[in-house]
Amino acid sequence: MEDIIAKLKAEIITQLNLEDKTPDDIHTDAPLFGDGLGLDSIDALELIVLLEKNYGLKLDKPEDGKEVFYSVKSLADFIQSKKK
Amino acid sequence: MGTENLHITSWVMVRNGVAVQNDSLFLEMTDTDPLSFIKALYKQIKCDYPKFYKMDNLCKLAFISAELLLKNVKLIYGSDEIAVVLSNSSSSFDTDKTYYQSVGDKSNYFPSPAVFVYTLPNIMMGEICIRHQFLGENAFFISEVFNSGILSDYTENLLNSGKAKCVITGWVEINESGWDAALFLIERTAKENEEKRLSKEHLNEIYALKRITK
Repeated sequence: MEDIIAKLKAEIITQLNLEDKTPDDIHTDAPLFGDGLGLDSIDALELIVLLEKNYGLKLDKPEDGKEVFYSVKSLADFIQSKKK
Repeated sequence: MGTENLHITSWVMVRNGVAVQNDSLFLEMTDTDPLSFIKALYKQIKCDYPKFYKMDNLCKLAFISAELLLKNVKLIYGSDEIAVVLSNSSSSFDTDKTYYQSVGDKSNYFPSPAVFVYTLPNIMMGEICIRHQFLGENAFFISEVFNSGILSDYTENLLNSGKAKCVITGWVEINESGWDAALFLIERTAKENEEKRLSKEHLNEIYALKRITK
């Protein structure tokens, strides 16, 4: 799990052009949207692309997005659950 | 009404590793690439706006030029009284190419929403307006070369018709020759001297950088 989290943080920085951030700036449990990294709706779309491009995963139910994209931890949980 | 009381109260030029603000050299790094220079300018200005890094090149150039233009300016107008009128020659072609390349491989087809949103040149006005909360009129013109006549006439019309009390106008272009931005702040004021009066000749003179004092 720690490997996925570290990889995800690096991928998020690259995919979302968070040039001023380092992996250490992204707290695993902190919200990605709103107060946390302050991501916006375009970033949400980029995260969907990231999931599909890097992990071959799609959200079956769009309504799950809010939960899946809540934090790096929830994203990692989702990726882990799909590996099983 | 003519342009008697309409004046160029501030201007900036960002071009070829040089940033000039109101007759004075603000930053010069002629041995670096345009993107590195714009990032250096961002740090020099000390603006804390993380979204800057997400913008495409054209928006970065427009955004940082507007930051420099407004750096020491206190605008006394309502949000809906400030208009932005920009122009260039190559539209958003720089990012259009990037997007086109990203969708060229059908076996690896992952269009980037973050790139796609910048495939319009008027987005740079949106970025400036979001940053400064400007809600006035926006207009964008495409012309082969810097066309001071269009910018001067349109700005004059906005100010004299009462649709705006202040206009940020200028040129923000990226092409094979390089990056080139020239922004002007136009306000109605009786205080300025004749050489700052809004006219296509004065815009041309500044654009040609005939007024730099190092």
